[in-house]
Amino acid sequence: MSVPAIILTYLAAAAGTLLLGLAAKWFDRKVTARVQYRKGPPWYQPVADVLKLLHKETLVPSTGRGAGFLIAPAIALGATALAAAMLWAPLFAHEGSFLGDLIVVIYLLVIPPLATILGASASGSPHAAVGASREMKLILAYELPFVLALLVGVIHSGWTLQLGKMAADQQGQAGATLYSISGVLAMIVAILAVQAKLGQVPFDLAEAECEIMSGVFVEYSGPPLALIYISRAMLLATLPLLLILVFWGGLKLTLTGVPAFLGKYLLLLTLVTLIRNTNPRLRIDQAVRFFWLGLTPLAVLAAVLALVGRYKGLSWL
Amino acid sequence: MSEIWNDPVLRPILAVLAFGAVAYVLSRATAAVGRLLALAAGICVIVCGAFLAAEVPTDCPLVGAIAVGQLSLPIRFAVTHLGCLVGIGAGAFAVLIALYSFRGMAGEYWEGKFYAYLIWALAGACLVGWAGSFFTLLLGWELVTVMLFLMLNQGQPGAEIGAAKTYGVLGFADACLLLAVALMLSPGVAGKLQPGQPMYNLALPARAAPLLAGSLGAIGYAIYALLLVAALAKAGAVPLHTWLPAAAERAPVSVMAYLPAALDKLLGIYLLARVALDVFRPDHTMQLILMSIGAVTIIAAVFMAMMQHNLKRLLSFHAVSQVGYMVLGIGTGTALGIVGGLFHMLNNAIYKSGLFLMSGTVGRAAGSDEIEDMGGLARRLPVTFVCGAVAAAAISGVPPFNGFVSKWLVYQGALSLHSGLGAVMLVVAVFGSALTLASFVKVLYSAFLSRPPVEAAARIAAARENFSMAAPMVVLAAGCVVLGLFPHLVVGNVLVPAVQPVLPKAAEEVGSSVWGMAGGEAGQWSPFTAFVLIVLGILGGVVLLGIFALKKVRVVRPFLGGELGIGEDRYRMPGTGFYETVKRMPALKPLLEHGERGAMDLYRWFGRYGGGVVQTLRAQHTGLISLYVAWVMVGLAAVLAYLLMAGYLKS
Repeated sequence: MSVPAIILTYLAAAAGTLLLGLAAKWFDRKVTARVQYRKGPPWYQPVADVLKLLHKETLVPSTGRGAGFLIAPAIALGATALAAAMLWAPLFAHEGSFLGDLIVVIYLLVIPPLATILGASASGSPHAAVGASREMKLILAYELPFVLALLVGVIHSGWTLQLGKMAADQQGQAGATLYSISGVLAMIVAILAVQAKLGQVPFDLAEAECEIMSGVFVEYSGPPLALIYISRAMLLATLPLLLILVFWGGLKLTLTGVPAFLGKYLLLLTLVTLIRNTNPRLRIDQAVRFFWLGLTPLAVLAAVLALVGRYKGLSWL
Repeated sequence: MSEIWNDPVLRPILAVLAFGAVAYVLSRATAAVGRLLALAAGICVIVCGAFLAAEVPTDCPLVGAIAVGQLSLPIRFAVTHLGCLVGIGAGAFAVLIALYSFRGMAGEYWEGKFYAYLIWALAGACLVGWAGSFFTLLLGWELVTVMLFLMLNQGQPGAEIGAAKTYGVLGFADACLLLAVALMLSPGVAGKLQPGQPMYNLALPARAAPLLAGSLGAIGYAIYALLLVAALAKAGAVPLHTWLPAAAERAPVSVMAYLPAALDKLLGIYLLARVALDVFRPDHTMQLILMSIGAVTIIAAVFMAMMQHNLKRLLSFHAVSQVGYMVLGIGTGTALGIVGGLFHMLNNAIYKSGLFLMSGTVGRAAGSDEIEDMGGLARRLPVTFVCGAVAAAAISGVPPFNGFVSKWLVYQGALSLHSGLGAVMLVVAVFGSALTLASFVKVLYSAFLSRPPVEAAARIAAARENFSMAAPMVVLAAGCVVLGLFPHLVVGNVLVPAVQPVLPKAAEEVGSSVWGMAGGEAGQWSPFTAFVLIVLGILGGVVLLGIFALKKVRVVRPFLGGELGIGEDRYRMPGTGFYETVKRMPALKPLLEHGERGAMDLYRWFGRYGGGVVQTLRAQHTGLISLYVAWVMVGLAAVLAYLLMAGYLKS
């Protein structure tokens, strides 16, 4: 692929993810509303929110480092867009992925929370500082079980770190990773880690409106807040793609494959929304303990089962 | 004599040694000569190294031999890809650190001597890099250790404790190396070797077929283990790492950035790699041991680093943790892993040296190395902040910086073992890099972004950038970016040819993931393309901000729940409290406390129990002549008994 073609693909993927992300935000709000016996907003509400924010004035705290404070949301946006493009490419064409791209995606997905932390630190607000420290601890907490869970997918598809190959392998004889004991366990762990990556309840401790007043975002307003909103929405649209690629067979471009993919995607989105609507927020120490002492052993178990299954040739394990 | 002077390898080394001697002689009179000589020595090594690199690999003729009794200890050189990398790298670091020290060491009472030691350490590193025999290697190795001790000894009051510990651990490591060399000369080994093989008459040839450690029997394993101890202690892997944090706290930052952060890593890992590639072909058990050491080093040291509140100590624990990736990579025994580990060696030297320099500038501005005394320096030291942030991102493996590429190669190397062990290593390594990120978030927040404490505010407000201190950091940060975007510069030109003779599939394996880095062909990762794309994304955001945000900007007081007094210390959140939650985790708490008290510190254990033995022996010295006579009799009886049993006294 030539460089202009890569750039075009990237722009298309970024724009598509943005639209999908806003739609996903609406879906999330609609489902939440239904859970709470409300009607919910119209479909264009997220777009309206972004447009409104873009036309507000920008408030910069007097204690802050203006440049770092303003550029952080843009960094989050750039990294999210690239991660999204790298997930769309292997979905549509298995050759669209390269050796070890899973690792690149894992690392790229750390950049948005990192940018959030730096932006929060640059605001000079003590609330944001508390939020930043929580966000970092949350990364530490979920990263371990998350990587372990992804490892299950890696083992199932024959030790490959290439997303396209993982999807291709699952569409072949072996079947999707999810249709095995270890796959189910890993998927549970991964969904919960994704919940934390998205900063959704019960893992929204970095924002925690009623404790630290939006924490990391407390000083953001207007257009920078719109950027944060956009990159969050894109992340919401992107992470289910990763789960589907690693555990659930990717996208098959056939008459049954596309609707199946859409169904899986909506199911994951609904699951994330339902979890956030039915759970209270954890304290940070509870969250760390939950991921390290609760989910990590589960993920280790899944990885061991997957290994045993691989060596003994038992694909259901 | 003229032959010696004509040797293309020895000539620059002798010149550098002479530079050092001149700098030492003139050190009392003026430090300015030392500064210039240090720069000149570094440049001389870089230039000569570049010429040597044109003809690799070459085995140079014997330069001379030192006769000790019947033994003849050969001094010879061999020019290898790795050796040139080490030599040129050491020269470049010498130049950068010398430049930084123009200001950083100015006014120190031993400034002149510092440059002399710096130059001699460079000569030692070159001796090691271009060594063609184990004896030459040993000479350079010792020279570097002694220079490190002399330099560490001169820091703030109390530095001698750290220096003594360093000398204790590294002296032990050097003794191991010496013992390994002695064992190579023992009849049991020397008799089994053929001319041309490594270790034959102490040879460390450029083009060698590595031996199987088992082919020499138990003594082969002993030599391997001793070489391993020497290499790992120099590089600073657990459990031989404790000299690093002990030395870091009070040593001058120029010394830390030059030796433990850069040169010692290059030398230690260089020896490890030469041993693995040219001397002994590691078998499965050895790989297992190496990989385990690597994984433990990564995770144990990074947890300790996260809990530190002294910036230099924190950095020194990271200097330990990063070694784990290199050892892990080399331990995998795969081309991807070894190339990744060696690339990480270079990358780590670059960003860790930059981070130590950053800590020096920051410590100078804040007047303290404790991170709770710092804050708000991003405004005063923007260049240092950006360079520090780049280096911090690189060490945490954030793409597209250099640390990411080498870690990515190591991960693939570990996974290509297709075993549960490889998978465990992968997870440990990825998690270690999240922990690294966490501790640098704390550093960046505390030093640069948080508000300074009220009493330090005036001092911090007066801080300014200085060209000679900022320029080396800019160069090192640029190195992080360039090697991140164009890794094939080193990987393709130096590292793959270095491992190719031993692992013939290297070009193919590494090539399938790294060649693509050059051009960004389909199906391959191109860091440059990724960089362009990510910048494009950021630019998109900035344009949006430019259109909308910068129209109406208003500076407001930050929200404090209705409270005033944002300038006061009670609304200041120091970075020291960032990870208290993690520290109090049920399983971690006791481990971290033991770690902080030195549970992993072999030096301390030796001190405690060695001290006990000494006290027991000392108690026997009562001064009573009859007791001494009794001891002599017991000793005599023991000797007689041994001789009788061994059959010496039959006739």
